[in-house]
Amino acid sequence: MFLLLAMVVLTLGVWAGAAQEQNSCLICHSEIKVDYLESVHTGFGVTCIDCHGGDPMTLEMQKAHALEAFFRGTPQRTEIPELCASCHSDPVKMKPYGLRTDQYAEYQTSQHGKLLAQGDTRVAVCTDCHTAHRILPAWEPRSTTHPENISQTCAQCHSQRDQSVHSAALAQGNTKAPTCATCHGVHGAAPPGVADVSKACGMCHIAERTHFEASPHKKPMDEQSIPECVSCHGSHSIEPPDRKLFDMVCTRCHSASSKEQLVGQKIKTLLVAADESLREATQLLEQAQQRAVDVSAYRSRLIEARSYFLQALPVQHSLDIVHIEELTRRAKSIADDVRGGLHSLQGVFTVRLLGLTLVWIFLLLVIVVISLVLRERQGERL
Amino acid sequence: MNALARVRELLRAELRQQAPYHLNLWHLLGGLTLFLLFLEITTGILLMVYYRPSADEAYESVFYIINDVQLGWLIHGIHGWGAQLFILLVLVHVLRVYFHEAYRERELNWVIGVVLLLVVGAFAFTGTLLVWDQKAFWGIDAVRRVIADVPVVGKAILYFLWGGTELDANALLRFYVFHVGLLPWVAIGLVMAHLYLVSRQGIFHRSGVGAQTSGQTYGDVALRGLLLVVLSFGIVLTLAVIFPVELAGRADPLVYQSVKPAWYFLPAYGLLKLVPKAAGVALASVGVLGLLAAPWLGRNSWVAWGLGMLGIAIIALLAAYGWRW
Repeated sequence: MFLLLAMVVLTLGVWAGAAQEQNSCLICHSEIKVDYLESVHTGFGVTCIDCHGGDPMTLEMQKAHALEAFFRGTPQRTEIPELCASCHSDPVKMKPYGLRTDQYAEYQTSQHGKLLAQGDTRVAVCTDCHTAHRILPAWEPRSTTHPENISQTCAQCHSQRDQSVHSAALAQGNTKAPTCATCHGVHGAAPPGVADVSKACGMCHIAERTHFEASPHKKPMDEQSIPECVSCHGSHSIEPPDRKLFDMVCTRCHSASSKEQLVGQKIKTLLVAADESLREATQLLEQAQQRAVDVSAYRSRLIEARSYFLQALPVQHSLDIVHIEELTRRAKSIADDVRGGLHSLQGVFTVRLLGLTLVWIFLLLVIVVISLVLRERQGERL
Repeated sequence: MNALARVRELLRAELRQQAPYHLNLWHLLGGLTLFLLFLEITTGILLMVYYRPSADEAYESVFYIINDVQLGWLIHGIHGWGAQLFILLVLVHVLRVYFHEAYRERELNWVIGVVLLLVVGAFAFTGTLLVWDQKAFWGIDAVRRVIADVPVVGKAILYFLWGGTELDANALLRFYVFHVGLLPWVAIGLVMAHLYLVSRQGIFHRSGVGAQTSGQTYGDVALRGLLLVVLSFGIVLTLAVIFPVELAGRADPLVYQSVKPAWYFLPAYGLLKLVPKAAGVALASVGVLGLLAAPWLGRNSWVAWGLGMLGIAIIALLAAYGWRW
């Protein structure tokens, strides 16, 4: 009897709990049901009333939307950051999920946040980037904040959509490639100032930045407030580094016959020569590998040559001709050695053919001997 | 008399026996495939010394064999080209037996021979993946996709052969086990049964087994066979030296590559291109069953000849279609 009573109480308890979790909002607002159910909030028990207020237990619209039920409807754009921050800036609430709580503080320092504080409601608020109801974690490929989608998300307002080598890398699936947020910041988004451009690029291109800062370009560009990296490479349409840049960008500031332009051309010549030698050596090595020749010694030499060349690439930003010449000379010299060695491997094929000929001579001898024995046996039979 | 002398005496007695008069070079093809099986097993054992059957190391170990191991490229080349010649000679041997109607009164041996042909195909199929390069990976994956579409038994076959529904390290290990641990024993067992039945039932001739003799002994026949062995070894060696087997880059499951199968799988490839996959598998199975049932289907010489020519024409057309598309 006691057991039966306990079961009834337990069943009623479960039923009551289920009733408390009932969310009747989605019955009328069915158009957002799919979005909401996919959202990361759903899994963590964040329901409609947490943002919109109201009574989710009733099916009557007036009761559900009553002011007594603290119904606030669609939040104003100016209210949204603060509303999201009511949870996301609370360390106690965010701790179980291991989430940061400084996004709102960062947002307030961003260009978006500052303009919003001035009453400009056209700027981005949380829901513009994260969406209102279909909020997905950034690692989820369908998320508007996934690295591959960020460019598109920012482009909803900003026309300068990233069409650079970086976005091409992203499109190829390299999620480590920089997005808008890498250079401009995430919640504290702001355009890098002239003096900060090299810092933004230098976060990844560390060696380039170090060499640039030691170059004769640094001081005059800072003095004249000329942006550093983007002056030559562009900002949102950065193309893959190409030797043609030496012909195209140096003359923007230096005359075609100037000493500086000659330095640029000298660097270009050194890099092109080393690059061509490396390419040819690599091609020869691949051909030899396909013909099953032992190229292990040349492979490691070529890696060494390539590492010198890769060192020379950032050093070119220092305009230090002596240093660049030293590195490219080493790269070219080793690559030329490898090319010579690989050409001499043609001898290996000759040796192989010679060996094959000798084997065939032996095999033909065996065939002749067997034929003679067969003929002799046939003679004996006759 | 010690054992060695006894064996020598037995062998000598066998070789001195009179051979049937109709025995010619065509009849030696079966024996030649035996030599190539021996060559494949020997070179295969040498390759096993350096080969690593794991997805992380397989390609690198084959690369190492080809580029760094002393004469590794030659052993690998002989294994690859030897396999191709092996398959070619097995096919020619089957055709010879069929068109000579040598399966008559030897139905069981014909069935064993057809099963051996399938085992040789399985050798080639499983061996292809072991290189773990792009060509091998996407070639075998194409077959996986075909099998996955086979109703009812498709998934069961995949779980048995691939170790799952995807082509991954499990499949590589299983293919390796089949290639070096299971198929050689099956092949050796079937070859022994095949040879036993040949020796017991004799070599077929329309006018009766060994009805006439030309004075030639089995010793003479063995010497002629040795000539073919020397010649075929020379051909395999030449192909291995002049056209070493190339690798097509490490297998990358994220970078799709469209590949055509080896020439011996072209008819099956053509068939699957021509008809829906499940129907293609069904038709190929019917073809194999037809081959197994050839002694019963071709009781009449004209019917046998007609079916044989029709089969060859269909296979050639399918191969041409597979090669073209």
